[in-house]
Amino acid sequence: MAVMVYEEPGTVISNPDYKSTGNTVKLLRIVLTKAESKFDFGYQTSDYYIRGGWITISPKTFIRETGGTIKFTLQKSTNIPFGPQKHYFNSTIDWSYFSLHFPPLAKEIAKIDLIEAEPGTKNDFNFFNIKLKDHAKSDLILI
Amino acid sequence: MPPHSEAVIRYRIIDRCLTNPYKRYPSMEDIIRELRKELNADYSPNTIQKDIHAMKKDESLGYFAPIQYSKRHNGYYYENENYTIRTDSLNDKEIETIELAAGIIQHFKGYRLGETFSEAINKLFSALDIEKSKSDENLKNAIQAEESTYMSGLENFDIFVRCIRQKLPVSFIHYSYQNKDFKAIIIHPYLLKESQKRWYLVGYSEGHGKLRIFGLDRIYDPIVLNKTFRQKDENELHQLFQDRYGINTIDGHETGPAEEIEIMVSDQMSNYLKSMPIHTSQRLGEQFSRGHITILLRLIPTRELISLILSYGHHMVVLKPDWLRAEVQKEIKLMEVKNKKHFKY
Repeated sequence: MAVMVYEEPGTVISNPDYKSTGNTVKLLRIVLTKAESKFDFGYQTSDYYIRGGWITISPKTFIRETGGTIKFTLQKSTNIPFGPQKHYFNSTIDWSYFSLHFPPLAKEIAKIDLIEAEPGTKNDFNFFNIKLKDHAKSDLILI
Repeated sequence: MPPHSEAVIRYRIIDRCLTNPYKRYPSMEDIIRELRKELNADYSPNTIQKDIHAMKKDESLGYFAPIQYSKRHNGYYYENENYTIRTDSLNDKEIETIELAAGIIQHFKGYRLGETFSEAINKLFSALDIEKSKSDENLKNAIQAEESTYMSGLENFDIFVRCIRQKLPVSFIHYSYQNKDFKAIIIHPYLLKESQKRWYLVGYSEGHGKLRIFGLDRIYDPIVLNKTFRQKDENELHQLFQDRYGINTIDGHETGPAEEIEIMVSDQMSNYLKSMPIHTSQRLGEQFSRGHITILLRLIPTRELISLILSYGHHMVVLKPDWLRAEVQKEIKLMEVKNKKHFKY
């Protein structure tokens, strides 16, 4: 996988705090730049499906400030297809690392939700109260 | 004192410009352009003039190149049309030695390291005027090294080398094959290490609060961070590898300490183990009249050590410690069960 090159230096949040409805997908890292808000995820297949099942992301997925109403819709995905297309796994030990790209967020926002579907099921990629403030952050640099 | 290697490469490029039959009388701009193309760097006319002067006058170089400037053609030329520094500076034996060394480096090109490394080797070949195809063919007839297959994650090799050299922390996503779990890691990278044809990144992991080793094939999406670098402790790093054969530790024995391991080696294999020890700690124990021997190692046992022992089949028997002997036995039993004809996974 190629190294991401950002137009502007930004901020990296590793292993952020959040609440979610499922346990097969983990929000691992958030990269906030002037150009975009990138969310990195890890998905581990389970024994529930014989060959690990499949994953997809709804193009209607959005982020919003927790308790707010303004939605920022998904712009791009990396390593996961937009529905109705699906990525099928081959076994119950397969995994996938993927990223979702949203518009840039204002610096003042402390918490956000990332919602694939409302009200949503345990199979939807819904994440609540993702902490952007009061969490160890690092500035990224370009080399 | 030999001239700086970069300067020598420049002399060779200038020489190539001056001997190019398709573009005679190269101007200063032509030479600068060629240097930029070959070395990906900009040189001033002043540097080129100094280089030309050195090629003409420097006694330690010994070229005494008959370089002249033609006002009519606005360019440089050799007064003696047959002159080149190439033939004068390297004899056949030296060329053969360089070809051999370059060919060995060529072996590492492409599948092991990143694009930048490959480009650098191409430049080296070009600058030394080595006929690559001929050199490759000659080398294949003389040396055949074990070839490595492509390993995923090597595309990040370059960035980690740069971060190690420039002392820059890196954020990346790690997937553990054993735990089937992801983690975002912040590492202060110290070393890239190859073991059993796999590459590993070694550094201080902020989350773990200690030195850790990560397989490059399990690392995703590195991002360089602008934060204070945690300097490495050379002793700690040295200790990490000194007492190990391989990388992957065994549960419950991750941190050591190193143990005395005694292994019986059959008469058919004893000479191989004597001629090439498994580890620097290897000592010869007992020698028996029929040729079998015992060897002693001081190591933290690893998965790789168990694999090595098993690879010798009945020619190697662990005598101590008991727990390692039990681990090997356990593996042999599983092998026996799973290799039965009708075993189903």
